[in-house]
Amino acid sequence: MNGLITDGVFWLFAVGSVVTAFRVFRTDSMMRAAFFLLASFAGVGGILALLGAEFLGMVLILMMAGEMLVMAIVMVMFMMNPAGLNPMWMVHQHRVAVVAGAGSFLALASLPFVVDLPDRPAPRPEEATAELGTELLGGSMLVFQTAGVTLLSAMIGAVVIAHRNGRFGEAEQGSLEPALEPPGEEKG
Amino acid sequence: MTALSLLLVPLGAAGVLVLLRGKPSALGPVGVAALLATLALGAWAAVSEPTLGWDWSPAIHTGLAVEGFSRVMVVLVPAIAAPIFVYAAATEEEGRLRLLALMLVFTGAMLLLVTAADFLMLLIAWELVGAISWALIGHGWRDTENARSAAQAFVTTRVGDLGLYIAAGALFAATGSFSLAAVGGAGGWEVDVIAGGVLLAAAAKSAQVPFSPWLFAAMAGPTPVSALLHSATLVAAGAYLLIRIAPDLDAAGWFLPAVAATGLVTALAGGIVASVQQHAKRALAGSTSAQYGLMFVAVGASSTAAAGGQLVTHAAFKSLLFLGAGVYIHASGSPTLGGAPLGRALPRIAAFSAVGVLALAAVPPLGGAWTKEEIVAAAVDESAWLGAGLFAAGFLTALYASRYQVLTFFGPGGPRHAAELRHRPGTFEIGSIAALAAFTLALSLLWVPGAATVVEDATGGHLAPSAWWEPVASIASIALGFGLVWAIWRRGALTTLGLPVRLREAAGDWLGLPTATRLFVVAPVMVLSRLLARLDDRVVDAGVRGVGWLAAAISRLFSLRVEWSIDGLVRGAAAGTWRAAVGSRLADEVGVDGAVEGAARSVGFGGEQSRRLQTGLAHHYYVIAAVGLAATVGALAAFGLAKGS
Amino acid sequence: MTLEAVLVVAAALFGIGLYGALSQQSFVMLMMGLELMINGGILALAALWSRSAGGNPQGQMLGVVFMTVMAAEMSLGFALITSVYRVRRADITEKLRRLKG
Repeated sequence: MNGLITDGVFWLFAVGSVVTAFRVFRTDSMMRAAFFLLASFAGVGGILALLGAEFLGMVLILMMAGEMLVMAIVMVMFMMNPAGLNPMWMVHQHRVAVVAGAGSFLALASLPFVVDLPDRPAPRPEEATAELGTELLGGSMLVFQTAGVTLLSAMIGAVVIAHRNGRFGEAEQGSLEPALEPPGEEKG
Repeated sequence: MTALSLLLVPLGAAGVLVLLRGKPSALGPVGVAALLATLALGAWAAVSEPTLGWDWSPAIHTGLAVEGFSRVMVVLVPAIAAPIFVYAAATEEEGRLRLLALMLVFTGAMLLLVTAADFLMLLIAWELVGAISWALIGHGWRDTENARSAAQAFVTTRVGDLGLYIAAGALFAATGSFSLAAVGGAGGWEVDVIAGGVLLAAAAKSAQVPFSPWLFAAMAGPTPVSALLHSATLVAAGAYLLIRIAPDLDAAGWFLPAVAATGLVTALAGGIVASVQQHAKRALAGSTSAQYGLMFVAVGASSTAAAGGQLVTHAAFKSLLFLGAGVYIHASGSPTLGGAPLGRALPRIAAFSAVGVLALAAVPPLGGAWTKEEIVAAAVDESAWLGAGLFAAGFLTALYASRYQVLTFFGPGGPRHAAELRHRPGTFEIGSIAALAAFTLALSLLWVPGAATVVEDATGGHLAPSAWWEPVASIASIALGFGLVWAIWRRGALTTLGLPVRLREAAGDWLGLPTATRLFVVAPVMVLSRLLARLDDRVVDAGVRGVGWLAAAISRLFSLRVEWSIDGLVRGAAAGTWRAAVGSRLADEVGVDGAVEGAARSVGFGGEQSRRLQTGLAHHYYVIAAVGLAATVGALAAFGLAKGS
Repeated sequence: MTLEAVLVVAAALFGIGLYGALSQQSFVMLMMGLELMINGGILALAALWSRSAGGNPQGQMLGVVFMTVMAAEMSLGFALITSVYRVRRADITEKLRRLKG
């Protein structure tokens, strides 16, 4: 009974996250695409929790929620038509992409049936979070610290890249390329 | 369960309002009904004292509880919010749904704050209240100035919130519990940290010096929002927190004197600021700071009962005054004091406002006077200087209260009939003001003998004994304030108080506090960061550049030495090589050149072809990368299969 | 909830992500594709950790590293989008052909 419920919830999350992932690229509004992506991530977070990696799942959901908000802001700032008022179909090399996507799916999906993976289920899923905590601040402390420093430097780098005024002058200085369109027709 | 429903009713009603967005006329009745239901639930909760708890984790237990002073607050908050909501529903048109729904959510968040049984819930509620107040203050966001004011209010109170986080962390470190009841169990250095954090949080939320200026920024919100924030909710949160836990923090010896000093300074500064304001709502905002300063003084003089009484009476008369100010602003079309007084056109509003003003000025037999007497008694009991400061504050209160009333409603001149006004207050506006005036008048019951024990029981504190001369001195200081306003008014200088403009502006802008903040906090930080950047450029970079220069010098040195030692050898070899070269040239031109040129041609052809791959388009490169990855994985897999079989 | 089922879901997410990353013109949509791919990777990792690696905590640790990579990639990606938009007014990949040989 319990297993049945778990299976049911899993398929709910699985189908939900795959369908929303697909809808990301099949909606007119970028804003909605961002929220579809968030829904997809929430589904994956749920599956992670079902698998016993509750901490990872929740962190994933939290992180993606924040990130989708940033993404929404970026869209409103820079993209044309974030609200999806008219149909959007901004794709290129579509056939190649379909073939690559379907091919990689088939190849990867066939792997678990071809390869004989060892069957060693986690013995104590309820202690997984505590074990992860011990691992983070024990054996893998160095990795954890490195990840933190990496994130910090990524943040600093992002600020430096995105900031208009660097310490040595404006971002545009010396890097402006002549406008692609004749003057006066520039977008923005 | 009662505790939870206390929060869920206003929050649910906010949701219902959103569903009812198509029917603007239904919003008011639904919201008022929800607030009245909340009031009934609150009264029931005050009697039954429900608790609700759950385990957040094995180590952390959290929950809600209606106990101690929160029994008073759960009744007070909806009781004040309901008339204000009626007023808002009757007057606000722009963004009506958003404003009304947010006011309900805000009431719910404030109820969560006063029912929180531990610091975790308190922090959640504290943040909610702060965030929603931001949305309420910035309600008219189409005006950029309003949005900026909302941000200022939010950021200032957020600075104080940090104190609450620090206090919660220190409490957990000291006792292993977040419960408000555990504060008394903390000892050692932690109690100092908790006390400091709580003082910071309470002072910022209750607009005490040096955080007071945010209260002026909060005036950017619509009038009902100001009335709600200033009376029983946002600003009251700081005083509420102190009333709940200040007695337990007495172990940090400096805490209560610091609270009293903060309160007294704010009461005096706020009095001066309110006295010179030209803006109706700002005059009231200055007085809000000052009145909460009095509560701080009471807490500092270890009379939480007096502070609690003052919180209740202040909530009643300040919401009344703010709604009266709203009518004044709507009717005269300008928030500036010193235009035409409206007493003759709006006699009823003027009378209601007078009730609030008399309560503010602490004229017996109104309730405000009783609580102020108790604060004075507690302060005199604590220290003579504190008592003297309070008499000065009482004088200032009488001064700005009567000045406000005379300038808005009581002076001569002005329109004679309501028809001449820009806006006539409707039934609901007058009704809500009348309800608050009735509440203020009802609080006069505090003078009935035996009320003291009720207040002590409701707040969980105790009152100080009062000497015979204290009421006399208070009334004398009030009379002095009234008399001074009378004298100035006779000379016709009440608007400006006869002070030069520059002095008035300096005093009205919180005695230069924002300028001082810019000068002593913002400017040094900017200078320091600029200095650090320069240090980085000059010193750290100089080191790097120096290393580069050194490396270049060393490599030049080495190249010279190698040339000298090897030169001779090279010259000897050169002669032999020359002969060999002549011979090989013949073979080279015929055989090798042909092969090389052929190879070059084919490389050139290959280059031309592969150049076509360089489209400059990222997605083409991406496809190439994907194909390469697939090929790599395929090769590895094939290798693994071959090895395995 | 067998291991195979989860891995198939992960493969589907990866495939959709690859499709999106290859087909979308807009930078932001392209990054969404990249994120979906990493998402599938994290899911496969967690499945193998839970069903095939005996719940070794280092498996989850690897998941944390994946997320770090994702966060760093996204923050720098957004910063680059901002910078590129500012300098070139470009919001789709076709507008950036400076690398053309």
